[in-house]
Amino acid sequence: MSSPLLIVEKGGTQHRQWRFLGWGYAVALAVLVPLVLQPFEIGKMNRALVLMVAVLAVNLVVGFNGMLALGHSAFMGIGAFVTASMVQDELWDYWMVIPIAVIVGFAIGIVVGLPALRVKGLYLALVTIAQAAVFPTLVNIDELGIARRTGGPNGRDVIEEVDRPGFMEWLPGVDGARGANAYRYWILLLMVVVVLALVRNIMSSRPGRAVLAIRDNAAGAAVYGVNLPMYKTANFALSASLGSLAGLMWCLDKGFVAGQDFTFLLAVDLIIGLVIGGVGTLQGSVFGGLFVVWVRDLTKRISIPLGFYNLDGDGPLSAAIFGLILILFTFFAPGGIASMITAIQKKIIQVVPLTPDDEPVSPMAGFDPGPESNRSMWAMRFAVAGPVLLIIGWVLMNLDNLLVGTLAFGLRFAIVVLAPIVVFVSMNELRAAKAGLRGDNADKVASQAKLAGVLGVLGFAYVQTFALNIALRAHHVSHLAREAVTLNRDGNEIQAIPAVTEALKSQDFKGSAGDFCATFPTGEVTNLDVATLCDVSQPAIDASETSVGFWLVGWPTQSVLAMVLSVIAIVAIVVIGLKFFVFSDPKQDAEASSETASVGASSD
Amino acid sequence: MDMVLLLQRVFDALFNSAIYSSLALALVIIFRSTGLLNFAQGEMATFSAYVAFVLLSGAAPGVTGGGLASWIGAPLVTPFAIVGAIIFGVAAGAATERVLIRPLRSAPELALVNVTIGILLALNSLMGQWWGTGPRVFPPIFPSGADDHFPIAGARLRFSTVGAWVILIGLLVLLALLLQRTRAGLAFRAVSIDPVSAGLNGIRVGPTLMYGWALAAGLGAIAANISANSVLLEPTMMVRVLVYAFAAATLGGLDSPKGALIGGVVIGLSQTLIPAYVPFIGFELSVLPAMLAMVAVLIVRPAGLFGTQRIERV
Repeated sequence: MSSPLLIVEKGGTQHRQWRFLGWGYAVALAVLVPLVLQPFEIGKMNRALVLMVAVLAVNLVVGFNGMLALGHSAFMGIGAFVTASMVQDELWDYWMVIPIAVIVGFAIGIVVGLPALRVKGLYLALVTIAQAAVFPTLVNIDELGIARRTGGPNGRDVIEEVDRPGFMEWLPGVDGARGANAYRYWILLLMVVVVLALVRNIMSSRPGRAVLAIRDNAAGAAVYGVNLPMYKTANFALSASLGSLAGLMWCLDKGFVAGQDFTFLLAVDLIIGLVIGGVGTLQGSVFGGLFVVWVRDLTKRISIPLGFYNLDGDGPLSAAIFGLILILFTFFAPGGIASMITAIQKKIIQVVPLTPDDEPVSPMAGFDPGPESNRSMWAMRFAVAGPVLLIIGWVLMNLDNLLVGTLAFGLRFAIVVLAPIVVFVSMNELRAAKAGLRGDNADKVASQAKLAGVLGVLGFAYVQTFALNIALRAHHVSHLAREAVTLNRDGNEIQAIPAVTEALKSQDFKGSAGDFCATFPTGEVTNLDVATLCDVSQPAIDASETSVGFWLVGWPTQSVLAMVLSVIAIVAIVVIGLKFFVFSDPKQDAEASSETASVGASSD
Repeated sequence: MDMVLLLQRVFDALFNSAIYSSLALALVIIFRSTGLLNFAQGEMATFSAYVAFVLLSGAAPGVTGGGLASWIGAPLVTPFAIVGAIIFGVAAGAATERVLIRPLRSAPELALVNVTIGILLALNSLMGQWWGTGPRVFPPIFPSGADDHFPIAGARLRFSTVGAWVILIGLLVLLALLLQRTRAGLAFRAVSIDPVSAGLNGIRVGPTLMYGWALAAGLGAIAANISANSVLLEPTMMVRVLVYAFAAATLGGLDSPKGALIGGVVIGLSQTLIPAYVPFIGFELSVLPAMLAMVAVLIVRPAGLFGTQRIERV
């Protein structure tokens, strides 16, 4: 690939389709999390969401303003203790505490930020590290009622219940067996999305650009009239208030606060998240939060028999593995995950910016690689690679090894990205071949593009069917299980729903009562409940079994028909969606028609 | 105020001061050579102390006097083990620079900080894996019995404190001689001022930086070996010390060895004396006055007491 496979005009049809796709995937992933993951995994995801906001707070100062302030664990702690105190002592609801936590964080940020105006570079880094080191001891002070409010060295419990708005019951996962963790997930996700949008908007507004200008050239910014002390302090305070909000989220997620949670080590975690995610990027904070939680978790579960030595992460060694991963990661991607993804994306797609007159900076036709283009060949390669990797992934999955399993998951995931690229590229190549841009190779290109396009569409349909299928299956099973347990507890007689038994025996739960219990929050369902349910299975057919959901859930044993139907439905949805939301650009359409007209004229 | 008690407290604080000063000195050397905060400094030092521990105890962990003692004679064991540990520390420091830091010369500063954090986590957990996370008894380097002290005006100045300071000052003199009187020292100073010009003048920048890391790691190893007896040897032994050393280095000025020394003394004294005389601050909060002292100094002098004030040309 000498040049990118896709070259699109900024804001043009394909660019918008590409972004639509990205957002679609993001939303799909967000919805799948509470449906498919086990409750403890949703809990980990919740922790990742908390850390995302915290890393973003650090990013605001370090990445966007160029000040090395690394002690945000203290701001998190402040937010957490303010929340704990308001919720437990004053009996406020979490929603009502949000403004308080943010304002307190902001005020303290101003106080801490003022000295930071004078102290620069690594000196500031060290001062803020000192701040992180001091904080855990501050909460133990007996005077001023601090220890009473914070719980002192013992910490204190915080109730995890939030006033649930009615609409929350409609969100995926909330009404099922995973409800307890899932609704917290949705609340935290909502906060993360709001914070991300807020920071994104601030950074593209006038004050935000001033902050960025200070980072890039402080003297230059001052010359242009940027009030350095004010913007630096305000930005620092905003960052502190986000850190404080992350502390509130921490309470909601963990239900317990103690000074020992907000040590220097948490600050180190935030630095790791910042650097690995990507300094100075919004998405970097998201990746950073995910990395810190999930890779740490992975290193704890790792187990590699080396023959002479059993490398087992279940012990002190997990941190060593994590440290090694950190070092390797920095070696191969010093700019973090965000810049790595940008680099890969640049190989695939190039966005041509527009002039102020909404014209591409140079004519789009100039980007066409001409008759010798090998794009259709690449489309073909990608189209074949997706399914092949998928199959390899399926095979590797059965080895039941954590590392191989993670790799296999990645391989299976490849088709998710590859399939739409194939569709885009082959559509473009077909068009180019028709327009005569491929010269003598037109036939070859067209046939390759057609084949690749069909494979790509099939792959894309597979991805969506698969996602929909696991989502519905998980939703259905968890719902049935909740119902069954309620019946079991409330009613005097045990009423086993056959579908539950079926689900227990299906591959999802491997027929083990323990696995099934694991899908519930701790203590809610016991092995005994499930064992009883399995034993007393009645032949009676429950009403839910006839629902559409169940037909999809039963796949593949029950219905190939359901799959076909869902493919059709999905394709229809996508086509309609694209037609109405993405394709409808009159200017673009007019241009396209005039372009073809001109091409026709020149070929005459 | 009880003057004897005050004097006693000062004497006690001076031991910690020596430790903070030497680790701060190590940080300063690395900052001057690579412009980097080495988060792993404490862990690298602790690792060297464990190496001494292994040399001392031989095959049977926890038993001093076994192993080596059987063939070099008991009185020589401790110095031998410590020198061995320092040599190991120096070699490991040089290797760290060569393998992990030099390839990332062009990477952003924070990426390098991340690497040192990685080293911190890895070393800490490896030590826990190999030698257990619990504290180990480390033999004293200096006589540390109940009577091993100089009586001065009623207070006791322990031999270990004097020993630590003798070693520290000796090291400083050596370091000064090394930097001021040798060709390698000249090269090191040139590289720390301007690596590009130094390179253009024929100084081999890479090996010179490696030399800086080796020096720093050696200093850290000495600090850890001196303090391992009093704070008990465990993987997290230096985590707290590192925070104080950070504060000491910042207070004195990140690029000033003299500043590191004085910063260590100030931090050590304020950590002990202020909680003792200010009722509001209990010993639980002993970390607070040290940090406040640092912040106060930085507000007045943003580059620390003896650091070079950065003057930028626009």
